[in-house]
Amino acid sequence: MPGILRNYKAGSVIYFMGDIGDNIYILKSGVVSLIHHSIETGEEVRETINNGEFFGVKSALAKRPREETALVIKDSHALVLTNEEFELLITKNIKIITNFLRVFSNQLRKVGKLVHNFLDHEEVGDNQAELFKIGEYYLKNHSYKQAHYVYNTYLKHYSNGTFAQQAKERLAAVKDALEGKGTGTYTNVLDEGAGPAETGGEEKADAEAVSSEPTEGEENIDVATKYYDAISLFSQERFEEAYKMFKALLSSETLNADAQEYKPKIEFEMGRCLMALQMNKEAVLTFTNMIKKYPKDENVKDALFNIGVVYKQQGNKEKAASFFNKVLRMPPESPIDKKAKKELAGLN
Amino acid sequence: MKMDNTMFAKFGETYQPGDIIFCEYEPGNDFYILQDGRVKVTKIVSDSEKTLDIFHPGDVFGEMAILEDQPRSATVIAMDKIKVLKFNRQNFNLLLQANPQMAVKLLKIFSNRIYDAKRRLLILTLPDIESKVCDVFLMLAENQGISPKTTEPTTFSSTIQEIANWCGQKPNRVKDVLVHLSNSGKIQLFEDRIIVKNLYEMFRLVRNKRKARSKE
Repeated sequence: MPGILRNYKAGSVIYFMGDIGDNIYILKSGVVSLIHHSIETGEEVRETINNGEFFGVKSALAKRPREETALVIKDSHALVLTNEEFELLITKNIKIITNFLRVFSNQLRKVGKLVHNFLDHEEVGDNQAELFKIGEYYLKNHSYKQAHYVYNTYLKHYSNGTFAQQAKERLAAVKDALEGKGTGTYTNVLDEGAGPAETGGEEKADAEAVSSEPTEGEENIDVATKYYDAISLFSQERFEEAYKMFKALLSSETLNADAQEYKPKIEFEMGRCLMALQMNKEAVLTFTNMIKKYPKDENVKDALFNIGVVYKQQGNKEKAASFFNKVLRMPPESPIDKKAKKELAGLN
Repeated sequence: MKMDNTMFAKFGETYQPGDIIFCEYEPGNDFYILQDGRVKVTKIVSDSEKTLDIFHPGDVFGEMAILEDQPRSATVIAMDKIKVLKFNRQNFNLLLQANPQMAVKLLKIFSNRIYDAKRRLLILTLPDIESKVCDVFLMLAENQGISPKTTEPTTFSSTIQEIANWCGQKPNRVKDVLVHLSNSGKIQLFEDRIIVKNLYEMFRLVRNKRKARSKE
């Protein structure tokens, strides 16, 4: 047997949680406890190692910090192996490997289950629909070989699935395209799939579910995406471009009823852009309008604060103070109060 | 990873460039050892195909299938003419006996997977979405070997979708958090990357949230 036999006194620690080390241990005699904190509850968990058992394996193999502290309870002997010695040992003994694979896969499953419990199950979605959508992606991008595989796979697993009929039609079109009969067929079939002429009532509803879902989403995403892009420009200190983008967004027709919630946010951000561009008068005007139009918006306190800052920069202490005080008087309490107090103190 | 010809005759398969070995959301119980050629791992994210990784001979993929019945989490496509060995739960032991080196490799992969899964669980146990997003940045830094205590600006090339996946939240909600962080000057948002100005600040925030939680 390779490795070094070491003695450990009761009360000593073989390794601490967080240590990096590539040694693997086999307990030969005595008692060792592994102590760690449960991720779920934060409580301390103790696990006793029996003679003949390995410990420190996972961290050594993964070259990651120790997950637990190995505390010696009674005087012990342990065989200490390096990573290489351990590998040599187990490749000669498949049974050890299968045991470890079983232990590890149980652990992985357990953690996997906990992770799963935390996830929003709506997120997971419908595997069947998602698989079909992958096919649609490849078809749309003329990747016929890949689309062929996906539709085939779909039909293999869900021959009576919601999208089975469409998958069959797409598959026929993809085959034509692959055989060089041109892409005309592909467009036709897509039309047929979504159109009322060739499909029955039920199938038509399905087709609409598939084709209308993404578009509806897209419109909302559109405003959200553009708003995000503008914010991103601002964070890159490209204030003028950001301002233009916000302004275009505010006046565009894409801002439909669903996207009204963005209006106060956009106006507030335009004020911030103007402020950053040192266009003080315009900034104050924009913030003031925003406060008038949306007196209950969450950004009102920030807008008041920003007006105060502009006046302060202009040396108008009196007006600055009045705006900082407005911030402090307005409920609810927010982190901006602290900043306002600081500014007020700085004025005097 | 050398295998003799009898192994290939039993478990071997050949694919042409562009062939899909398996695709995202496909149910499947096989896992693969790449023998020859390269494959790419892709995922379709906000209507575009992203390459997550490229595998070379000796690499293992689809190994999660021997543990759980989840559909595939990504698509694997042949880049060259490739040869693979295909295994499942039933013939797994045969493989282990024929190739203990592969078994050691799998042990390492699983060890790392357990660490990754536990780290992700730590993110999920945080009480609010902002600290979750911050903890994703910390985890990504750790994976890149960057200390989470750095006060230097740190660049991340992850997409919103990826961050959302890590913290188990809807992309739009994650976007709101990123906007908020950007507005308070903590991060800079670019099309292809995000710069965190002070990772240590996030580290402290996450640590405090965790402490508060364990006191409850």
